Amino acid sequence: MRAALFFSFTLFVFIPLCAADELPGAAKQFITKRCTECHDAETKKGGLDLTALAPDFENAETFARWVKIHDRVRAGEMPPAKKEQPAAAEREAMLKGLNDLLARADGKRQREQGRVPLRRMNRTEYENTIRDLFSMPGMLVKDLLPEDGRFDGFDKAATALDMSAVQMRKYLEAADYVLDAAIAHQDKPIVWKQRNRRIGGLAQFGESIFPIHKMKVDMDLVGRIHPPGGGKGMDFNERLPILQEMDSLGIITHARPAFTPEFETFSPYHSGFYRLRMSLWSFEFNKGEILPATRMQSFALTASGRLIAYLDAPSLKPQEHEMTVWLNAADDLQLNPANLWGNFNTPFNYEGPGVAVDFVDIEGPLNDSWPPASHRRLFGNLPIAQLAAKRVADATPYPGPLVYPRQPPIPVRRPGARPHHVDGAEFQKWQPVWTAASPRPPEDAERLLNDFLPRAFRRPVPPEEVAVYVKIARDHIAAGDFFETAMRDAYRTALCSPDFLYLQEPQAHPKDPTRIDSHSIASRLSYFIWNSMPDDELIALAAKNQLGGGTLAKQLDRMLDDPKAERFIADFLDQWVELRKIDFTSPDVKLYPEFRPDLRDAMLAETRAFFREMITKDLGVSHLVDSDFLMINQRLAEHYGIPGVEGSAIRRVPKPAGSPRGGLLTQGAILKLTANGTTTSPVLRGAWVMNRIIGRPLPPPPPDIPAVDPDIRGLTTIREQLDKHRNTAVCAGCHAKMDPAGFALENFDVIGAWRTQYRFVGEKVDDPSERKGGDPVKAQFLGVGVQQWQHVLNNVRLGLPVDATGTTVDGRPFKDIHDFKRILLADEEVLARNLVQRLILYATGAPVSYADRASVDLILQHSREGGYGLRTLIKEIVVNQVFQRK
Amino acid sequence: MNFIPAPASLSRRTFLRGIGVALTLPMLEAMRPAFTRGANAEAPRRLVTIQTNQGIMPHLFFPKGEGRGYELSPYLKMLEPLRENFTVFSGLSHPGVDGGHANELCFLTGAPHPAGAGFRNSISVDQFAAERVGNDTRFQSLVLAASNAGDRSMSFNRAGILIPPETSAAKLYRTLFIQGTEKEIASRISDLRSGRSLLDSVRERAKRLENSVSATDRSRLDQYFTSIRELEQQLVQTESWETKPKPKVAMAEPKENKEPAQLITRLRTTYDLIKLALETDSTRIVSLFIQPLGVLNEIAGVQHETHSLTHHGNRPEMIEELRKIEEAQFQAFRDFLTSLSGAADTGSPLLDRTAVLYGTCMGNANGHSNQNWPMLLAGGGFKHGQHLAFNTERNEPISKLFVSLLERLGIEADQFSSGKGTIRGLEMA
Repeated sequence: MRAALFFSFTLFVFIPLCAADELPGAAKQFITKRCTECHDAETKKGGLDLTALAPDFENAETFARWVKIHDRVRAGEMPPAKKEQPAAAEREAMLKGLNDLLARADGKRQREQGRVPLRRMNRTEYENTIRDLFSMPGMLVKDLLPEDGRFDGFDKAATALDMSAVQMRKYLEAADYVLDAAIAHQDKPIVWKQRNRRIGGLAQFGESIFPIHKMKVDMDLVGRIHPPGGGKGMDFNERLPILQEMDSLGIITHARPAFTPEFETFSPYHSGFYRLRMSLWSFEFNKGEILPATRMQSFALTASGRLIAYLDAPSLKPQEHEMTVWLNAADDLQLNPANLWGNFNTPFNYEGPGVAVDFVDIEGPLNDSWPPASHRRLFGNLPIAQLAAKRVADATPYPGPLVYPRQPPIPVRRPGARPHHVDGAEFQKWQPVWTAASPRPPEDAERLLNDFLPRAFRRPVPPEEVAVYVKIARDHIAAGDFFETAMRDAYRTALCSPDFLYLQEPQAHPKDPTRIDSHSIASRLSYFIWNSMPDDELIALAAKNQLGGGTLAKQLDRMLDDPKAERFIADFLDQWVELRKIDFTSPDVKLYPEFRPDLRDAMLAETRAFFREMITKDLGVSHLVDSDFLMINQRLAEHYGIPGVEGSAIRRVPKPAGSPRGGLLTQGAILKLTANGTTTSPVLRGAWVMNRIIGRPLPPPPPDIPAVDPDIRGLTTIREQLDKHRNTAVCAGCHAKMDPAGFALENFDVIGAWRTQYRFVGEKVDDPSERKGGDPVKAQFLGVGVQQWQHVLNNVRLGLPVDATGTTVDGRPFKDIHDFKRILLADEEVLARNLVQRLILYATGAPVSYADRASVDLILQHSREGGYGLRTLIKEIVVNQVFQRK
Repeated sequence: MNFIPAPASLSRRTFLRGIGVALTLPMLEAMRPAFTRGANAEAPRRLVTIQTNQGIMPHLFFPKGEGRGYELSPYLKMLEPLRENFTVFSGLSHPGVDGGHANELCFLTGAPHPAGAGFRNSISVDQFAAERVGNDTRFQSLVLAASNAGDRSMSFNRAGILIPPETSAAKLYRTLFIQGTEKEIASRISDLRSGRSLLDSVRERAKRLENSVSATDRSRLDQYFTSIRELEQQLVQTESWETKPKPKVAMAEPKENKEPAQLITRLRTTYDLIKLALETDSTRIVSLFIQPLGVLNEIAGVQHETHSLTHHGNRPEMIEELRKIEEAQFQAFRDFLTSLSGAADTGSPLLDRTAVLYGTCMGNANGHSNQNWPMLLAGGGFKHGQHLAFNTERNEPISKLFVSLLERLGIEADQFSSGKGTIRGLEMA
């Protein structure tokens, strides 16, 4: 890597013997004339000796070196500026000669070996595939599998997706877990339908939560819930009717230690869809008095920590929300006031915003039929029967000790959670074992497997392969096992077989060996856009071999417009711009107390919605740098200082004139994940922009260079601390390339807010006049209470001014982010090329290699006219041979 | 293999539930080293590797002076009674292992540039050792984590794939010491057999598949075959241990504890179990990855999140708070070493035959420096009581220390990762 830093070509020196002799004339001349003064056996500048570097393109390492030579000459970086420069024609001739050789060699490799080796599903794909295969859209199985390897940040790269005994063991466990969840073990579900009145535990009743009656705090009701003397002997059921008397429940704190905003006692017994309905509003509270809210409040609805939705609560006027959501068994539902701070005050001395809940209705699981779809996928319409201790087939008693079909573990729920099995009237204390019953087990086994295997394997399965699984089931049946047991073993084997775990891409026709067949195209498409298996429509088209031309484009549109495309958006952004690292660091709570979950969630939602908008409207790559609109909600609008946006829903808003926002680069999430939580580093941010946006990653720092030890006592700026370091000769070369982008972003702090001065932590003072530095702006600390504001004033001080000026490596000065954006926008093709390369890696499982450059050029050429619209780029990739061939 | 097990033994327990996920088991017979424990062999040697991933503040760790006469630093002062049982190092790191936090995955492997685009990890020294000396015990190695941040370990197999750690002390206890009823054993054995027959079926399928794919794909399928073969071996081994009695220990089963704030409590329980696992010769190789993230407010005076404290920007109150977290870890570590030095092992203290490597690959977390790691080595049969000071700017490869450790375990390895030969100045006792 370091070699690249010091690469240097130079004027001619006569070298009689050169390894490059085998190169075509122009390239050979160029090298002997301009390169070998420095890059010979003697000087070997940058570790490169061109007299010894054979044009052996079959050797991957040598090949890569030649590619680097080609690219550096093409970029005009070699020969270096201080040496005499070749004429354009000379350079072109050299490049053409070399390019032809490289492309030919790499093309040959691809034809023989394919671009993409056999690829294992990564764990996200595995989870989505399971979800779609079994119609269990919220099933969580990803975390049962080991973390996947990555190439260039992508866990889609075939070569990074290895297999090992550890991995295999986990697949066995995961298969059991999935089948446990998919198979129904009751003849009917325990259905829950109830109106809840309370959020949070009763211990807090009268404190963080309190009853509201006729727009007043009803302390009488508090007294009845907590009677003097502690209400000994009063149990939950006695308190319930009292709770029903209140109009609404007021809440004046965010979740905090000793206050969990959980749903009364509800926790789902079965996984499935549930209907939730709730009525919410907000107010401003002043020591007992309920006044109109100064800001639209919202609640975060979560299930075991997974965000379901943000729900608005308008001032004094209840808003009803209704939704149908997937919940997993034993999920812990919480309704957390999203924009309040953790507050320990009681209603008697609290001043500030509050929220109210009128009711929360819960109904579910909602099954159009029972057993659920997951069970039907495995057992079709076979009835569920109570198990009898006899063979299902011939009613003779079992020969040996009875072994029931495996029963899944009972979900571990919060103590006291309901519905409980005692709640169901028909639910008996002694629960019988229920199982799928088959009147003709051997025949049913074959029928069910014939249906299941092609779906699971995403392609037709020849009869002799089906027969293998049928035999597994029939052997069990012959041995006297229950039908469920027999089928389960066959299904488990299928879920661990290479047909399920690997994305196989057989050739379409022996005469065209690298073209993949239509089922492979269907899978490539669906794993690209849905991160999962193809649906029935795609499979049907593949079976008719109709996934080409206009149909392909139409299917792609259909898929991009499907909600499942959100998986692509989230997953691709997680990998390309590393959104998955959003929580990698937590901003210093003293310096950035306003960074709270509502802001973090809004940031993620913004970046995803923005990318979604780019796809929907086919917006050009320039939008990565700047746009005339923003995709924001109220919380982000406040964060960005934009008035007039109310509510938690992300919507399209015109960008105010002069705003530094617009584009992906200056979104909160991006700025947050490129900072470390306490400080921003222009180096890290700059390196990130160079790599992820520009597509020119820089080598890691040379060894033995001490890292900068950040100091945030407010005495020096990071730029001053860096200067000492980046001005040394070894470092300057790379830093000149990567730091500028980072400098331009210095006006954004670690949570992406605009700043003109650096924050530093103030010392505790008795007299406010002793505080050092300037006061922060209160509006930035949304929801901060009167008492809390004093702490903020003590902790957060404004110090040295931010300097966001700089000069790009090619000498263009900029004074701030606005200037810098203009510089980036001057070359849209650079942005497009990088995005296309990353999309190809994501879509095909292999990085763009030398021979693929022609494909990239073609894709860019076809999309140039519309400014490289994102939807067009995706479409051009899909129809390109890079996608159509192995 | 006959696929159909006897109906009586067909049970529907989770496959392998009984053996716990984090335990790697002996691999191929062919990989067995020449070294095995003969009748008159000496007591076994052991290796425990520990990393705490949020760094150790260098100014409180590194001592003044070199050699035997060095002056204890504030942290080392806490280990003072054990001074003759450990060596402290400075100037060690893995060359080319950079990338800020990314390098924690290379602590035991030395694979360079973990943050680079094409990074692949390589085998960790504990697994390298386990493959060679782990075959006589129930568990080839224990891969553990005390963590508030997911399920990472620092152990990697030969393919460079992370071995998921056991993070629950309660589960670890059950795996090590709870035998289960006869019925449970029978059911576990039948699960293992049914797992093996499953592997049989999928192997057959992969073989048929092999005929129709390209050469490159075949090499990917080879990985699949190898995985199956190794897992089968592991299942066979597990089965053979299943009927052998597990050791009985005085310690009661610890309660399941998932409280993030109580990381230090969990760490201490884990240390207790490591000691018992070594004492009962259940395993000889242990790796423990500590991720002290979250708000560890069970430690008096701690109220902020650890990672943000490590970026203290030289603010004294943050350094003070971080110090409390690091001290709590050193106290737990000291008590662990003390218990090892108190436990007898065929005559001599357990510590004398157990090398315990402790440290971090975050030289200075404030600046994400990956140079000059705070490291110490206790026990294991070396001459201790000294500070081995290497160049803090041009570091000595820590893999040389790994070679020394391997050698002490009786494994002939001239080289491990970037380390050629043993480390200067560390002699066997």
